[in-house]
Amino acid sequence: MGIVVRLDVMLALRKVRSRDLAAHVGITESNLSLLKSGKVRGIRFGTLAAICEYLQCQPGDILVFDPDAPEWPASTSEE
Amino acid sequence: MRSQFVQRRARQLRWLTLAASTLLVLMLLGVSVVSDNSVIQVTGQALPRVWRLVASGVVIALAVLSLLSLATTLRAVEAGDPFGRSMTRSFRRFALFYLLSVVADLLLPPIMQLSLFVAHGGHGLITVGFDDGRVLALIVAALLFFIARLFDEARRLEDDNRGFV
Repeated sequence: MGIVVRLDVMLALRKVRSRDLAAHVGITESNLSLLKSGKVRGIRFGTLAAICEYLQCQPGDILVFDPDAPEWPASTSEE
Repeated sequence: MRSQFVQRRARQLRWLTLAASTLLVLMLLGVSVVSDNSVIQVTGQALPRVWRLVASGVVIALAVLSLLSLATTLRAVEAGDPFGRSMTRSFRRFALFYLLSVVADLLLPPIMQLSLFVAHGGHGLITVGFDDGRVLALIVAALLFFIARLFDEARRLEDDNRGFV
C-alpha cells in the first residue's frame, strides 16, 4: 500500500506548466518531476502548501492513499 | 553563505595540511642528512642512529599519509560535498593512518630494541615508553574513528533528506 501523487492530474486540470509551478514553489524541475512520478521519500509541508497555493487546491487533491499502490522506495537498505 | 564560509575554511585548512606534510618530510630529510641529533623524538634513545631514522621514517610516512588523506577530505568539503561518500571514506583513512602512526611510534622502538637484543645474543637494554602524550594520541585516534562513524550517520541522514522535496 502507498501514497499516489496526482500532481500531474492537477497540473493538467489547472493548465499549469511544471516549470511555472517549480519556479513558484522554489524547487528544481527535476525534483518536481520526481514528485510527479512519486519517486520521493516524502514532501515537506512548505512544498505542499506552496503547491496547493499555486494550484488552488487541497493536499487531498494531490496525494491519495491507495492500498494497492506500490511503496517508494520499494525497499530501504540500512547500512 | 554558510557553505561558502565552510568551503573557504576547508581550502585554507587543506593548504595548511599540505604545508604541514611537506614540513614533516623536510624535517625528516634534514634530520637524516644534516644533523646527528634527532629533532623528532619518536624512538627510543637506546637505539642506534640508523634504526632511529628508520623508525622516524615509518612514523612520519604514516603521519604524512594521514595528512594527505585529511587533505582529500577537506577537498571534498571544499567541493561542496561535506558528507559525501568520498569524504567519509578519506576521513576514515585519515583516522586509520593516524592510529597506525601512533601505534608505530609506540611499538617500533621496543620491537627494534628486541630484535637488536636477540641479534646480539641477549645483551642490551630494552626500553618501553608509554607517556601522557602517547596516551592522549591514542585517545585522539579513537575519537577520530568515532567522528568517522558520526560522518557516516550524517551521510545517511543527508541521503534520507535528499529524498524529500
